[in-house]
Amino acid sequence: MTRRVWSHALAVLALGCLQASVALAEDKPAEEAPSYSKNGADTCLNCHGGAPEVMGIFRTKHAQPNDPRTPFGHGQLQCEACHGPGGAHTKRPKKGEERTPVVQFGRGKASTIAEQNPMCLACHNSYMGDWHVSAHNDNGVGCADCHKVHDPRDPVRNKATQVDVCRKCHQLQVADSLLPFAHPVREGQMACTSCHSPHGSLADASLKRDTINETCYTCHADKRGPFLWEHQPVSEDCALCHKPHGSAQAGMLKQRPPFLCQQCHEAQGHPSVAGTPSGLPGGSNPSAYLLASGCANCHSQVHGSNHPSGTWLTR
Amino acid sequence: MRNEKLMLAAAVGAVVMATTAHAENTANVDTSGWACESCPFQKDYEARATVGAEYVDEDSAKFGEYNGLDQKGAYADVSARGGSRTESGTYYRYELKDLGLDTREAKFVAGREGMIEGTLYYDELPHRVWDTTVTPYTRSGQDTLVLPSDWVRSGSTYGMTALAGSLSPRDIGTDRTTMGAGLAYLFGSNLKFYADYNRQDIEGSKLASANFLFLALQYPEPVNAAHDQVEVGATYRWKSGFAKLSWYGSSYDNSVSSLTFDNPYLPAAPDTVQGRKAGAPDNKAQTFAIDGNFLLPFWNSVLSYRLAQGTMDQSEDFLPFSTSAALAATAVLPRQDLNADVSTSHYRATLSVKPHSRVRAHVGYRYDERDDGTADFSTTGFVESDSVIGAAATARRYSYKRTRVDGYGEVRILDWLSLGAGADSDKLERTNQETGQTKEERSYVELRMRPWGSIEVNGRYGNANVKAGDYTVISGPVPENPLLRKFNQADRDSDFSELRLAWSPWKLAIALEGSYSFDAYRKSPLGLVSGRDYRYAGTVSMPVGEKTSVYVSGSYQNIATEQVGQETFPGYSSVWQVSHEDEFTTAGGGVVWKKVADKVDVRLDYTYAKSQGPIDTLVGNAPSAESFPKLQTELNSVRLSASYPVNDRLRVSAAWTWEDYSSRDWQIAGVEPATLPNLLSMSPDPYDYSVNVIGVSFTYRFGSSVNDE
Repeated sequence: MTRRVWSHALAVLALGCLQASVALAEDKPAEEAPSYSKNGADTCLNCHGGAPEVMGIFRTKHAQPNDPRTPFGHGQLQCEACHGPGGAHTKRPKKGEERTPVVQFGRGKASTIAEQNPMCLACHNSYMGDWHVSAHNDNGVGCADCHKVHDPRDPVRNKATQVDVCRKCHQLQVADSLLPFAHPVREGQMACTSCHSPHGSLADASLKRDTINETCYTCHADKRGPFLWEHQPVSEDCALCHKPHGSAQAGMLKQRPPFLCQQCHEAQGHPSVAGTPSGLPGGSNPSAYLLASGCANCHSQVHGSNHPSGTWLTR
Repeated sequence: MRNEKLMLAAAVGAVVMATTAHAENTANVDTSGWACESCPFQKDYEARATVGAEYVDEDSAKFGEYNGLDQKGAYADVSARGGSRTESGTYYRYELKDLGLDTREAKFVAGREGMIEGTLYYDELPHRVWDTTVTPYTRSGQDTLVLPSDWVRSGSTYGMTALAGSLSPRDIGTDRTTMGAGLAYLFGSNLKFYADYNRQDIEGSKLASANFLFLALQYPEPVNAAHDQVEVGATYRWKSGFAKLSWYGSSYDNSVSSLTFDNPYLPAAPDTVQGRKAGAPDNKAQTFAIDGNFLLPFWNSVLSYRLAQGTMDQSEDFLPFSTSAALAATAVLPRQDLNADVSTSHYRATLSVKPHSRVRAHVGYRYDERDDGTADFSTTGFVESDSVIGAAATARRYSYKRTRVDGYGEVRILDWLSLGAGADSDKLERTNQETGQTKEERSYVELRMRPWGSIEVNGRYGNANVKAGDYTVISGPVPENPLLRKFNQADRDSDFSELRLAWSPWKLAIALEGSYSFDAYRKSPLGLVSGRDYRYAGTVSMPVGEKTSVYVSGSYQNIATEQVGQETFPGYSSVWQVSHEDEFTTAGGGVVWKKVADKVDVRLDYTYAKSQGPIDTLVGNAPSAESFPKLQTELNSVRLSASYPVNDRLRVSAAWTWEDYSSRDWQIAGVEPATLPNLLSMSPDPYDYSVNVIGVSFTYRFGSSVNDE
């Protein structure tokens, strides 16, 4: 099957290269260097001033006159640092012609994502060094699809409102926060960025830490050990047993004990006993292997034990 | 491995030498006349404060799980935020939120623009779990649980005649408090130092279990721990890249290093009147890392890298083998603590290229290692659950090396059509486990298109194949069934696909997405044999007139697994199969009315969520599967809010929330403290609540605002 997909992929790439070679052959005419406005922001605000969605920028980090790294830092290009040279834009268009646009941000605007994002990355490369290989970049996400840089309280940078921004594309993951057992994302007590780095990372699933486990340990350091008696999957990958976006099972487990445990433990004796409805209260054989915490009624130290008698993870 | 490290170091080094650091560039535009006179930079104090009250009409731990509104009664609604800035660029900001609730937060930031910024923050997070639990245990000091003095021990819960009279309600849950401080200092425009520190304190109790051989009990385990984390580092950036050097340290300190609890059963050994469990050990971890990237001078290429080296250690003193002095004396501890020593390594490098506006690709290499160098630990015996002597045992140490290589390429064939393909290889080498190595190879194709108008379609299809090495059952006193394959070490074939559609016809905004995956463990006679997951979701929103917008959304997911077990072996008899099918459905909708009667903003949201989980078991040659009662949860939530601006500075808001939740869970329903002869349960009930919350608040704005000028 893998071979088949590869052969399809190669065929697609070959076709793409053929098409691209035609496009590459097209010569672009030399362009004149664009001009900037006469008075910078003062020129822009003549027309665009007053609107709250514009003026909010002056309460953000982008508008710090004493920080020369910011667009409004002394000597910097102000509005045109992000929106590009506005000289042509400020000129009255000839009759029947449209005003020359500047770089516009957001989905559905005249500027493409390929034109928008470099404006941000020109300054922010060091904050998102892995953007270039991120899933967001691969999927053509624009910075302004998530960020509202003119908003002093950019929703995506606010723990309580961030999920509503992420939901626009990640409906399935956000729906998981409504599952009976989930991290407190729905309540606004935790954000997607508590674990993920949306600007890209070199770890799995754009996690902030190097591995899933190291991400979990930032809040669950009690599970880190190293324990005297370790439970193998625990030290390898928390997500082997847990669903971090939410689960119908307590503890955000993939399944409940004993069934989850029996996917790896079938030793003869009680570990391999089939769980059946006869083990329920009122059944023919109510069973502690099945009810309450199931296997964990006894093997309660499933994350590992530091007790010298914790061989079976009971102490 | 040494060669891989050298190759990576050489590659990074070569690029470092080839790349010249540049000073910050500008567009060389003469901006001396750009006075920005119409720019309303903040000059004074600006703030807003909210004062109000909320009332909750029912107790419910589940409703208050993470919002702290778990008790019936009134709560203060107090929040504020504000700040000030001078023309010289010094500033401070603060935000206080939910001061009257157990979710209170505070943050204070001060600094000087372009030079230094300091941050202090405080955050509380409740986690209410159960308010229907009961126990005969009471705490005695930090780490001991005792039974009443008139407790009657018995070989089963049925004979515990003092049980009913000894039970007291005991809520289960924790409070997590985080306090932190940060500092960032800039040297010029390119060099930044930073330091962040935070401390989490977790206190409360959790529902825990323990056993005396085959007799188990649940109890409220005290939780009292602190976790300190610090990261310090420096980032240097230049025109064509950046480099960051950092150190992360973490220290976990558990005040409940062990818990001793009375044995409610007749002791198996004469003096086993108590049991004792070890708490999570105090432990430390640290990581040194260097990160960065280089913007290479060809093909818009970027090389990113990360080299991180860390350690994890713990040396908590061991407890005795047993509370029974007689049994504890039968075995000898080889040393007084584990002196655990684990090193971690993470090396990554990726190269992305974009030789043309229509072509881009990236390749990556990742290496992760967890090397457990802890000295061997073997005992001549141990004491199982403080009750009987066990055989000699050796603690297995688990290490792994994981090497991944991935690549992805995409071509924009037409202005509206892009095709991509990717593949990766993931090799995991483990020690002391059933398989020494698993290797996963994954490949996929992707399609992105904008066929017409605003329609965007993204799709992906691929498959993966895991090849596991020889599977050898680990020897031990109770060996696993040799036909079992642990699913993370088993051969597996997977298919997966995703599809997303976004469309904005007229004023509508439509977003649809779906995914499907199937895993087949074709070489696993026992254990997990298949898993299937499909889900889809959609949202439609649209404005209705100039002041109103509406949205509806919904999702569905279905996760099914099949697993096979066997009660006795060798041979292939007494086989059983279990089928799970977890379904989860959500639906929602809402309306936002702006400026109703030119003044009032109103918002109404409805949320519905339902989960169902049938489980069927087929044992041996039974004619048909037996079904467990269906697991089920159902949530209905309505929130109506309105706000009215009394004047330019004062706004009054009101909100009403109704939330109804019901659940059915056969695992805990009907399990009273003495329902099972061998489990003294805390008897939590399935969650069920119907809660109303009403609130009124007043928000006042102080000082000027950006729109005043």
